[in-house]
Amino acid sequence: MKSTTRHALSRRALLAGGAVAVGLPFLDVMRPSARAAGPVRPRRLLCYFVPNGVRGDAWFPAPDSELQLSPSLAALAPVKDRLIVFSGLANAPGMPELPGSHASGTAAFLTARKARRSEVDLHVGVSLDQRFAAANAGATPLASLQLGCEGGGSFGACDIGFACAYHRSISWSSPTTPLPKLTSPRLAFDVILAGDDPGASAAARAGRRAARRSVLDVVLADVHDLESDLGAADRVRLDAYLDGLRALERQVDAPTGLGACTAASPPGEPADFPVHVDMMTELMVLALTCDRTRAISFMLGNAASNRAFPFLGVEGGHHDLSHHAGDAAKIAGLRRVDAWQAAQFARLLRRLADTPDGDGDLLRSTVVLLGSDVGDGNSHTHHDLPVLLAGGDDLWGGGRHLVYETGTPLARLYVSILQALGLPDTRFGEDGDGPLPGLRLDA
Amino acid sequence: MRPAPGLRPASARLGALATIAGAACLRRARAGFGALAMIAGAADLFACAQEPGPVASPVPEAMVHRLTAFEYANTVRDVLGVEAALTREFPADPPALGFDAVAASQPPSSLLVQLFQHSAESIADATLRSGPARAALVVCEPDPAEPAPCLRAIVEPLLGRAWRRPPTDAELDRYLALVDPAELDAGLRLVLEAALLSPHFTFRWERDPGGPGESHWLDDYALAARLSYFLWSSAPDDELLALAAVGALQHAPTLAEQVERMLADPRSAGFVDGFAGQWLYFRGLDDIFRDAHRYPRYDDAVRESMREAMRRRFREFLVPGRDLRDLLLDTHAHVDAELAALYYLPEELAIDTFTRIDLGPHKRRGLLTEPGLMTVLAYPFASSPTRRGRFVLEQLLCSPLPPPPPEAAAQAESEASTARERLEQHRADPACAGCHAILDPIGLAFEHFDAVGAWRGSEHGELIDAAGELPTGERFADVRELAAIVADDPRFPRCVATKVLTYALGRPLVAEDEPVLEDIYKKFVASGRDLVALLVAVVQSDPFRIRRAQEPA
Repeated sequence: MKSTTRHALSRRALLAGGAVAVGLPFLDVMRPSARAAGPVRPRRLLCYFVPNGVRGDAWFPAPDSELQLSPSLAALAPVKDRLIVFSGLANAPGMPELPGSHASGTAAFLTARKARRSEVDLHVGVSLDQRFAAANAGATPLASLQLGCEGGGSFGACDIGFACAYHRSISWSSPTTPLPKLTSPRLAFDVILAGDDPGASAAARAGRRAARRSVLDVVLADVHDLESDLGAADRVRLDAYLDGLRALERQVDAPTGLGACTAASPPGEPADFPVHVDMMTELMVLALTCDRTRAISFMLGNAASNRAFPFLGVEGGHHDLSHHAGDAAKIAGLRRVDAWQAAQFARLLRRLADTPDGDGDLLRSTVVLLGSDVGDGNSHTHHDLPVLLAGGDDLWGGGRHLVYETGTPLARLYVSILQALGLPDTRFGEDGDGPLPGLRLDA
Repeated sequence: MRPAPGLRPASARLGALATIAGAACLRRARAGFGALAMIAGAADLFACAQEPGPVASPVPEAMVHRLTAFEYANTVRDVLGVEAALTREFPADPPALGFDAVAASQPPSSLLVQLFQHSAESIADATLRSGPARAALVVCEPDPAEPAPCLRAIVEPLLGRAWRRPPTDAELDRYLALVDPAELDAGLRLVLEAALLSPHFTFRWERDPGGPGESHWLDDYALAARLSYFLWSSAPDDELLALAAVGALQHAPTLAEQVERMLADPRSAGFVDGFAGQWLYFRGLDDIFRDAHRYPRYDDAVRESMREAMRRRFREFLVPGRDLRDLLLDTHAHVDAELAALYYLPEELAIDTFTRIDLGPHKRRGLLTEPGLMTVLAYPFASSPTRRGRFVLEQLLCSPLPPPPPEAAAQAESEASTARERLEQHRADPACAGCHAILDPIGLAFEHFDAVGAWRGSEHGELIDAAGELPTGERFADVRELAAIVADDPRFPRCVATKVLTYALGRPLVAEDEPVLEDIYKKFVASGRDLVALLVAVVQSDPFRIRRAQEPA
């Protein structure tokens, strides 16, 4: 896939599908191979969540160490040599003592910690993406970006005794702070560009920044007035607000310029779910291409998503299907959903692979992780989880199937990822007490 | 309580001469709320002398509330007269205890602050571009020779309304400094952006004049905001601010009058959608998908009509004198052309506007057979007796069942054709039987209503049997008789009181709240289950009017 011909083809394919493309610029057609020898810098992290687990019999590859794509992963063939599939990993902290596996499993997905069962007193842990984002603070206009395709209504309970936030966020900047995600492509675009209008002149953009500076000065003075006479509990909330204002200050004071983003144009309203996913995929590529952020998390659906897939000819909501009770039609439907989800992930990987970055491509510099809240959705297992790793080829290659003993902590993979991203961490979550053996080619 | 100079001079000196108290109240009237403050000021002597005692009862600690996306949009509409369009795309506030306003006491994320900035810029732009909105804001043209008085006349009321209290002189000066009179609109744009991004707008701060742990009466502006966000999901209007300015709001009869006034105001739509929309789940209709082949009648227009029908049913109880049991017992429904097909109405009845129909011939009754409710409590492809049963137990009776056992996730395959048969098999498992014996009779009473709330006689060729018997031995033939049992269950009014108080306070109820809840419940029942009386009892209760000073930072 590194030949110029293949590359040109995929570009044409993208341009032909311009209705959903967000107008990404292509700066460099003649780019070197993905695994060029130069140092990879900067590195990025993208964490991709799919809800309700998978139907394992069609998802996990045959137990060879050389990757043979399973039926549900067939769409990943174009990027197979840049992909690692894991078998045997478990996220034991995701297992609740009482039911509520989707909430606790989703909260534990990137934190590897046990979520506190509460509607108001949230507590889990700092997520993988946020650990990385904190280490990179200030490097990019946005410390991190949270995107998704399902907002979730403001009604009802989500999972027995767990607040809905556990269902809708995988990124936690502190053990008590779930980060909400953007589901509107238009709003996400504006956030990625930090409200800069790529169509405006440089002078107009500078004027806007100056105005923002004046506004922020006044608002920060308001914050300062409040600080002195708040109690401890309210002070925590004001401080969180202040953190957000400081991030806005950085955007104003150290403008990075829009760089490659000046050619981007905003997306419209998604007509349906597949278009919505396409738009969010393009926005993730945009944010990384323009180096607006280096840490992204994405939820294809919320925990226990009951989305229907009429366009696949599948009858039933996803969560209902996952509790198939042995029904053959439901199991077949689940496999189709799994395969479709893998195709969406494959599209993202192909777009990253098609985007030049330094002396390689964006996939080489981006560690991409895919996972779910549970393994088998029918029985809510928290072992034998579906886990894919892509990108970072110089670190661990690709085309591999790594089979671990059932119960091997997923958090160990997270230690490996953090180390690959240049962090000194040796532990993660509750049970990540070291890196995952056998992953790194150099270790 | 420690006297708090400048905050509650009158309450600190209860028993002092009325004239002194009155003078103290008058001093608090600020120029910013001019005419209305003067009207209210006429009654201030009486009002201030009637304020509650100097010692406030202990209440649990409360956190500051951030505006939810819903409250933010309503506030912008009422303060500036423009639509906060971007809030529709904000990340939904995930509910806690069933209410987004409870979740909004969590610390905000940096993303939200960025969205507030983005939204403030967009709203400032919309305000200055809209003729009427700009005219309401720019109440005078600055005199080039002496622009200050006019600028102040524009900015001071803006900040007062946006922040639900008069700005201090220092704040006013800070905001006025943003305006170059020669470029009025450019300056006002910055003022608007800053006022809307300020934590004074995006949060409802309540100050603590006393020592940590001490309880104190809320200052009147904070009380005005609690009232308006409770009953309108929006900012206090000029009348509430004027009452606050003279310190008259704490007066219990004034609170009762204000509740009735506010419920009669169109802004009470904020309570209908904010409280009932979440309590009765109709706000969730947005996210409900139905298979188009199986349910061809269901589309966006039907969904909106379902929601409107439920709003109308609930709104009938916002006037004094109705018994809330009738929410479940009423024999009429609100139907428009979109809903007519679901009721199998003759075409001549299918008119565009909503009309009241008699449910007599329809085997339906009240809230429990609303198509919107039946739709929210169903699966994309089927009804859900379990969800419907849980709704009755959790939302109407506040008697949630314990969580299912872990092995309940993996269900056995079933060949049963009706929900009743499937659930009978399910109950054969002893681990499931205990809860399902309570849940199933209730849930199965709804089986005549499919996943979009249309009546059906059979499922997969088998006649539906909606009759049941509760564990108490009470029997019912169908959902209409079940509705009567639920309406008369003493847990129903207590549950309503619990939900309303939780929503009003925006926090979980704790053991210390128990006597207050009991008192409110008794008043509600004594009033003949009048929802307005319940709302009055809530706003007159200690935890609504009193605040415990937080521990120091």
